[in-house]
Amino acid sequence: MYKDTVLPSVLEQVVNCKDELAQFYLMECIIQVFPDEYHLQTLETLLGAYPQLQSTVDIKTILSQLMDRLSNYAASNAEVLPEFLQVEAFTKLSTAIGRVIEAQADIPIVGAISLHVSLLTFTLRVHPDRLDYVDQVLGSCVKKLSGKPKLDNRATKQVVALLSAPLDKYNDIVTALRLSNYPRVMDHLDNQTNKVMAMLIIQSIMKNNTLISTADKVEVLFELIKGLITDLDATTVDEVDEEDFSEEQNSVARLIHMLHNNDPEEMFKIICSVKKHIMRGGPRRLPFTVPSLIFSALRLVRQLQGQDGDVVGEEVPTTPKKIFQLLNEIIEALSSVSSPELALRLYLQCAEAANDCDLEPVAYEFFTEAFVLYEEEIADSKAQVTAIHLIIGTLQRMNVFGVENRDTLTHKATGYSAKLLKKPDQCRAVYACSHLFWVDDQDGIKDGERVLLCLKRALRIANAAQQMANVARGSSGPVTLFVEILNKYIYYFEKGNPQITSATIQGLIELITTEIQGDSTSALPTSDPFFTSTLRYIQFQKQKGGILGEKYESIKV
Amino acid sequence: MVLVLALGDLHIPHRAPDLPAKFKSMLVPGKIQHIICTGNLSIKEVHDYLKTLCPDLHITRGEYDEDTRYPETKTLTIGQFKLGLCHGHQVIPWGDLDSLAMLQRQLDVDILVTGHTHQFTAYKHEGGVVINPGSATGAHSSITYDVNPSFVLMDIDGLRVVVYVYELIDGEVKVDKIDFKKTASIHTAH
Repeated sequence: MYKDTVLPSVLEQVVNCKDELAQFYLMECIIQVFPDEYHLQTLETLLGAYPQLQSTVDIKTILSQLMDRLSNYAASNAEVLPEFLQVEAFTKLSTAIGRVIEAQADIPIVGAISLHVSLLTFTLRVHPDRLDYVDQVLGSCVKKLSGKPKLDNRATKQVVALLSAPLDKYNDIVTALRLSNYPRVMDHLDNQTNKVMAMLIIQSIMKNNTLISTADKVEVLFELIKGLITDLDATTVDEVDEEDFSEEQNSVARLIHMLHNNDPEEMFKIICSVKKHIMRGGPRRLPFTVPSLIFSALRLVRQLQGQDGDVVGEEVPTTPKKIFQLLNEIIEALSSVSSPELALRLYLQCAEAANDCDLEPVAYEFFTEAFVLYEEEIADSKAQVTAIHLIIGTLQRMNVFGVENRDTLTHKATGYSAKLLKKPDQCRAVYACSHLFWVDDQDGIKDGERVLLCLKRALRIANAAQQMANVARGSSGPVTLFVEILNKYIYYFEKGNPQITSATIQGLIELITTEIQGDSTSALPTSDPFFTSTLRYIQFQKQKGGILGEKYESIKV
Repeated sequence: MVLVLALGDLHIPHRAPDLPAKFKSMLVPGKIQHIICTGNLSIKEVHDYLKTLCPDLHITRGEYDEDTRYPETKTLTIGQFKLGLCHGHQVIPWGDLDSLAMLQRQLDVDILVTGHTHQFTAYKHEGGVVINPGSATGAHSSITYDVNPSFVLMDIDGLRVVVYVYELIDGEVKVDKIDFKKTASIHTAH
C-alpha cells in the first residue's frame, strides 16, 4: 500500500510545493520515518523524485543519508542482503549519484567525493564480494577527479576515507590490490597524503600478517607505495623530517619480510622485483631497505642449499650462484652511497653463505670486497676494531678455502690486526687471529706453530704497551692484556697444541706476578681479580684429575 | 624474587618485522624489574618499546645497532649475583664456551649473558653460568640454522637463580627451566 499509494502522493506533494527548505526537510523525514525495507522496495520511485526537486536542494546530503541508512540496515541483518540484489540497489544508486553530480556540475569536489564514500560504504556492506562494484565506484571517482586542480584539505580527507574503506573491510590487502582503480585514485593525492596513505597500507599488511606471495602482486603494491620508495617530487627532499623519514623507510624495510613464497622460482622473481624498486630509492633510502632484501635473499639461498642444481626443463632454475650475483650487485650499490661499514657486514654474511654452498670463488670474491672496503673506506679507529673482528670471526669459520686462498686472507687479516691504532686493540686482534690457525672440527686446521707465533706477537705488543704506559704515565698499565694472553695459552694448552708446554704457562704466570708486584711492593697477585680467577681455574683443572689434571700437574699457582 | 628479562638479536627491521605476537602478549609492562639486552635491536623503535616494558634497561652494542653509543660490555649487580653482558661478536671463536669463560673471568661475574649465535644455551662451568637467550624474533643467522624465537627470564632469589627459557616452536610457546645455585665461596671478598 505504501508503495502504490502513500509514497507517490507524498512525493507529489513534496515536488509540487517548490520550496527548497520544505523539500529538504520533508525528504529527510521520509527517509527517517519509514522503515528501511520500504525504502528498498521503493528505491526507484524515491530516486526518481530527486531530480525533480528544486535545484538548490542539497540532494547530496539526502542521498548520503539514504545510503547510510541502507548500509546500516544491511550491516545489522544479513538475511536481507538478497533483497538488495533483487531490487538492483547498487545500480540504481550509482546511476542516481551520477545524475546528481552531472546535474550540479559546479558543486565543490568535496561533495562529489563524499557521495562516493557513502556509496562505497554501502557497497562494501551489501556486496563485499563484488569487487567489480567497488572498482566501479573508485573508477567513477577517478573520472570526477581528473582534470581537477589540487584537492583542498576537506576533499583530501574524503579521498583518504574512500581509500581506507576497502583496507578496513578487506583485512587481506591482496583483495585491495585487485582494484584496478585504486592506484589511480591515489595518484590524485598530493605527495604528503600519498605517503600517509602508503603508510596506512603497510600498517594494514603488518597488522594482519598478510603475506604477498607473487611478483605481480608485489609490483602492484610497490606502485601503490611509490611515494615512499622514491622521490615523487624533487623539491620535497629537504623538507622531510628526519624522524618521519626513518619511520617510513623502516616500515618499508619491515614490509620486505612480508613478501614471500615458498616456491624458489617465484621467490626469486619477487626478490628481483623488490630490487628493481628499491634501487630507485637513492642514497638516503638504500641503507634502510637493502639489508632486508639481502637477508630475504640469503634465506632463499639456504632453502636451495640442500637441492642439487639439476636442470629440468628449458629454463635454468634459480641457483645460489645466481642469487649471489644479484647480492653482489645490490651490496655494491650500497657501498657506493657511503655505507661502507654496513656493506662490509653484508659482504661477510654473503661469504659465509657462499661457504655453506661450497662456492669457493664466490666466497673469496666477497672477502675481497670486504677487505677493499676496510682498506679504503673505514677510517674510524673504533669502526676498524669492530670490522677486523668481524672479518676474523667470519674467516675463522670458513672451511671452503684451499691453502693458497686461505693463506692470502689470513695474512691480510693478521697484518691489519697489527696495524690498528691503539696497542691494546692490536694485541687483542692479533691473539684473536691465533684462532684462524686452529679449528676444533675433525678436519679443521690445527697449525700449532702459527698459533704460537700469533700469541708471541701479541705478547710483544703487550710488552710494548706496558713500556709506553711507563713512559707516558710513569706507572705500568694494567696487566689485563697479559692475563688475556695467558688465558689463550691455557686454551691451546688444553686443546693439545704441542707448541705450548706447561713450562710456557708457568713462565707467563711468573711474568704476570712480577708485573703486578713491580707496580707497588704491597700488591698481591690476588689484587687482580682476573688473574686470580684464572689461577683458580688452573687449580680447579688440576683437582679434576684425568688427562687434563695430569697436564696441569707441573704448574704451580 | 627479582625478575630479569634477557633477550637480544632481534634484528628489526633488517631480518625480522617484529617480535612474535605470542611473545608480545606475554611481555607486559610492570612485571619485570630489569631488562638486559645483548644487542642488535637494531633501531630506536625497539629500544623505546623495551623501555615501556621496564625502565631499567641495559643494552650492549651489537654490530648492526643503529645507536653506536651502547657500551661493548656491561656489568651490574642484582641481589647476590653479578651479571655481565656482551653481544658476543667480539669473542672469537663465536659461540666458543672456553673463550666466553675467559670473558666471564675478565668481567668477574657470576652470570654472563651473550648473544650473536641466535642459539639458546645455558652452560654451567667452573666460574659460573653462561647464558645465550637466542634471538627473540628468530632472526636469520649465518651461524645457526633453523632459529626458533626465544628469550630468557631469570628469577633471582637469594643465592639461587632459576632460568626460564621461552621458545616458540611451530607456533607454540614452550617453556623450560634450569636451576643454578651460587655457592658463597666462589668469590672471595676483597
